[in-house]
Parts: sequence; C-alpha cells; structure tokens
Amino acid sequence: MLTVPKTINADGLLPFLGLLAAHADAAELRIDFGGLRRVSPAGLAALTAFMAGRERQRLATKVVGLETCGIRDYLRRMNLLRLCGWEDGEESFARRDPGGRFVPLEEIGHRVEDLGARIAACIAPGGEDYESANGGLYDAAWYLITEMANNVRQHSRGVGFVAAQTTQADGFVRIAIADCGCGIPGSLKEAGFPRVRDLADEDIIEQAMAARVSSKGQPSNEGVGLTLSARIVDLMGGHMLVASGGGSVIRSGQAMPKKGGFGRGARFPGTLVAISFRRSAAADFESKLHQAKELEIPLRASPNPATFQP
Amino acid sequence: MTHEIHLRDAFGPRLSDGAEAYRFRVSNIDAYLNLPDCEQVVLDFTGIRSANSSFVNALVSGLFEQHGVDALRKLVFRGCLPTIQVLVQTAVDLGITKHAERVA
Repeated sequence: MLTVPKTINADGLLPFLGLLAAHADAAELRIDFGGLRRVSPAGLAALTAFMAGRERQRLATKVVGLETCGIRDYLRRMNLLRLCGWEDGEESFARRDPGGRFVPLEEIGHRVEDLGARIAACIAPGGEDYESANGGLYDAAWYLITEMANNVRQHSRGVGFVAAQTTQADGFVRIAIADCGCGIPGSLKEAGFPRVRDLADEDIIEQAMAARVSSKGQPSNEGVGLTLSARIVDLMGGHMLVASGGGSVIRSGQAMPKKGGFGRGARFPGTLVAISFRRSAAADFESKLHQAKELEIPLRASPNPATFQP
Repeated sequence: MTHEIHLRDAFGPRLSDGAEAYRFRVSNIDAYLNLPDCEQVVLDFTGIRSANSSFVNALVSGLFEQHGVDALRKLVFRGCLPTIQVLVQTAVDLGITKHAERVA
C-alpha cells in the first residue's frame, strides 16, 4: 500500500519520490489518495509518469480514496485523473481560464515547440510579443520547457508529461517535466560513457548537468541543453531538482548541489526535472542566457564574433 | 553568389528540434559552404520568435566544427532577436572549439 502524503510540495517532494521509488517494482500496488490536500506540479508530473510506467510494464495498480480526497476536483482539472486512466469520457466540469495561474498536465508529443508556446503563454500572458513586459518570462519558460521536453523525446524512450503553475501570492513559477523512461543514469551507462561507469546515480546526474555530456553524442546533440538550463535557473536564483534512477540532485542558486540516493535499491522509474524561480528574475532572460553561456562554454583566448545583420 | 535560407519558411516561428535542424543543415547548408561560387550564405532568422540550444547548436555548431573559423567569412546571420543572437554565438564558439580540438 502506498499512502499518498497530505502535502507533496517543497520539502515534501523528495520523500514522496522516495515513496514512489520504493514501490516502483511492486507487482501489485494500492495507492490511497484519501489524505492528499496539496500537490505541486512536480508531484503531479511524477505521479503521472509513475503510473504511465506501471501501465507500460503491465503492473497492477488499484487506486483508493479518490472519492474522499479533498482536492479531487483540482486533480481532475489538472488532468491527473484522465492521464492516469482513472476517469474517462466527457468532461463534466467547466474549465477556468488558466492564464497566469496553472497549466494542467499535458503529455509531451512531437510538437515540442507548440507545447512550449502553449505553456509559456499561460505562464506569461502577452509574452508572445517580444517587446512586452512578459517577454523575458515567456522566453525563459519556452526555453526550459522545450529543452527538457526534447530530452524526454530524444533520450528517455518513455512517455513524458509536463505541468506548470505560477502564483501571484509568492511570485514563483514552477515547471515540472517527468517521464517513465530509462533515466539519466541508464541512458549514459547504455551509451558507454566511461566517466559514469562506477559512479552512484546522483553523481551521474550531476555529471549530466555538466557541459557536453550527452548519451546521443554527435552529430545532432551537443549535450548543453540540461547544462545551460540548470545554469540559467541558478542565475535566476531558482531551484532545480533532478531525480532519476536511484538518486537526485538539487541545485539552488549559487549553493553547493545537494545530492542523495533513494537507498536500498529503490529507483525512481524515469526522470523528474522540477524547476522553480521568481517571475521577476526571468525579466532579463537574454542576459541570463548570455551569462550561462559564458560560464559553461567559456570562449578561447581570441573570441570569434559571428556576423549579424539586422 | 549569395545563398539565402529563410528559416521561418522552413520551420515556422519556433525552432526546437535538434534532429530536424541537423537534417536541414546536411541537406540545405553544408553543400553551399563548399561551393567556390558561393560567396555568402545567409541564415535568415527574421520572423523566428523562439529558439533553443538544441536547434541552434545542431544547425550552426557543426558547420564550424567542420570548417573552423573560415566559415565565419561566408556565414551571415540575419534578423536574430537578441536572445537568438546569444544562442547563435554560443553555437559558433562551440563549433570552433571542437574544430580546434579535432585539429590539435
């Protein structure tokens, strides 16, 4: 039995991921939602990917307590019930305009650029216009979502989901992307990366966040997507949690990364990337991108400026 | 001769898929850099609202990895928003760095 905790956000997220990891291989599993009262986009995305993984492996899962769950309507509006197969048919409720508040869970399909644009427009209304006040926030959201979603499509071999939220109360943007694929450690080990052979999963994740590490290699992948994304989030003073396989890494601003393992052979079956940052910190995204590039891909002694025309 | 490539016509206003960019580079750009008659190749980003590193690196970095700094003489990037300009310069630097590593 997996009893979903009352709160899955902030400090409650990692213990919840540990709970999922500990039950990932259970041939039969009952999940009790009765006590759930609060869940972040990262919790929703992780849960949906977890369920997709169990479905793929044909592992039996029974869900109980949804009828008494105090946030059942919220879970429904966030598409959790439909994407997990716990509810189907026509929607019997009216959706509110999500602009500027939350973005329901969505499966990552082939048109990553359109997915990114839809979610970025919800997070940063009007930001499609580059000159608008929300232009930087729109760009930050679009960049981070498309880079992470590309990783799901190109590396994971699993199904992926994205969810997001932004609240006026604390001014934070939260973006989460999760998949039920082979995971970052699995992907890099399979690619035969010599540097990762004997490392713990959390150390492999940390390596993957360093420049020019990619399981795909040349010619179409430079391995800088996750690196630049992580650095941009650092520079915005935000947080990035990456959980995959048996470990996790949390980066928070300029602080040393916090690494840890789920222990006792437990493995999160896929990858979760959870990002949060202040809306105001993304206003000068162009400058953050430039700084990230300077830090992660330093120029040689003599820079070679390209020719740009208006 | 100048060869102009209008990315908006080929991909629409948002550029995100590195694999697509790589295929496009091989079939639509590489050959023109090798053509003696082609003095300039213009990659026109006019109308492109968003791009990410995956796409721009796959499109641009390989050109410089293959041709090194010489490619700077032929390639021109037109109509880039400031954010995209940063991505393009990053891809150029990556490509030149890798070219230097290959030669060394």
